[in-house]
Amino acid sequence: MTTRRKEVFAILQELGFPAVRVKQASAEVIEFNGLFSSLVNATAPPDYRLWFVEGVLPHVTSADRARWEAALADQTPVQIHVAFRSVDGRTLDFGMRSFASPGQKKFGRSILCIFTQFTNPVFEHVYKAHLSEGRELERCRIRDELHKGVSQRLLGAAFGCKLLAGKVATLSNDLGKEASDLAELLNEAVVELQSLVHSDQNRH
Amino acid sequence: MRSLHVFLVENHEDTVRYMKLFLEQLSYKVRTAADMATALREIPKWDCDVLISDIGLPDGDGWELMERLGKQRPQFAIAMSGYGTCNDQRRSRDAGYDHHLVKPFAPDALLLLLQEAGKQKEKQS
Repeated sequence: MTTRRKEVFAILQELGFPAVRVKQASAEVIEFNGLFSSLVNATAPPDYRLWFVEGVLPHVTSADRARWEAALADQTPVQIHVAFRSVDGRTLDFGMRSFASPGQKKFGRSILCIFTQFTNPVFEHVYKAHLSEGRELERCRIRDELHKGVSQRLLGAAFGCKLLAGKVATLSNDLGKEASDLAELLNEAVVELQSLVHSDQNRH
Repeated sequence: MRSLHVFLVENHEDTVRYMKLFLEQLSYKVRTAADMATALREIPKWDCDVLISDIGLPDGDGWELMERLGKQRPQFAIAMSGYGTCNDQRRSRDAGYDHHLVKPFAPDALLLLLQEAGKQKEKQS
């Protein structure tokens, strides 16, 4: 991970976004897929929209606000660009960008620029709305990686070990017993991992 | 009575290798495919008793494989998947699989099912 991305992740964790995926779109802009989409999404809960209007729009320049309102009225997709300022007024060197579609039309050229402070309560709302989503993403990531990586390899190893135990048993009873115990140990590990993965799936 | 013919569809190289060797050690006749297209081509050519197929395949899935095999599907079929929700298990049953094994599973669990397949075949013959 680059130093810049590490810095961004550190700030994200400070904001309470431990698991939100980000990618660097340019030297200045970090894309947050889906993070701000709910703000202007027509299907988002009304209270999201309300706090967006109350919490964010006062920080927006009049020209940008007019552009956003026109886009929303016309159901034109909006690109949101959020730049941060720290509490002491310094502009931080990264921004957030997301594409959001309040309607069915294809992405237009409307861009909403928001300059807001870290302490703005808007982040608390974003945090509350998206933390559970972040946890869900993280659970899915762990489950998928368990399946694609660990569990698949462990499955192969369990069969390999059983095979080996069978072969060794033909050479020596003692060694066969040890190999069989080892295969049994691996069997138990497989069953434990299976129950771990499966119990996570049952939560969904 | 001849040993069971098992067709194994799995794209994870190590898993398929050791499963095949292990089953062969127990006198099962085993053929393998790493994707759905190969399985669809090879299964009808062989007098296959049991199909063991991963659900996630590079060119499709185990459910589609069963559907496309149609009447050429083996008598006994076992699905393997990393996903074991009720919905996954129901989909496997609906597709025609007799059992749905959730990965990772113990080799003994597979052996029990193969014994069941053997008994079923014995009854039918």
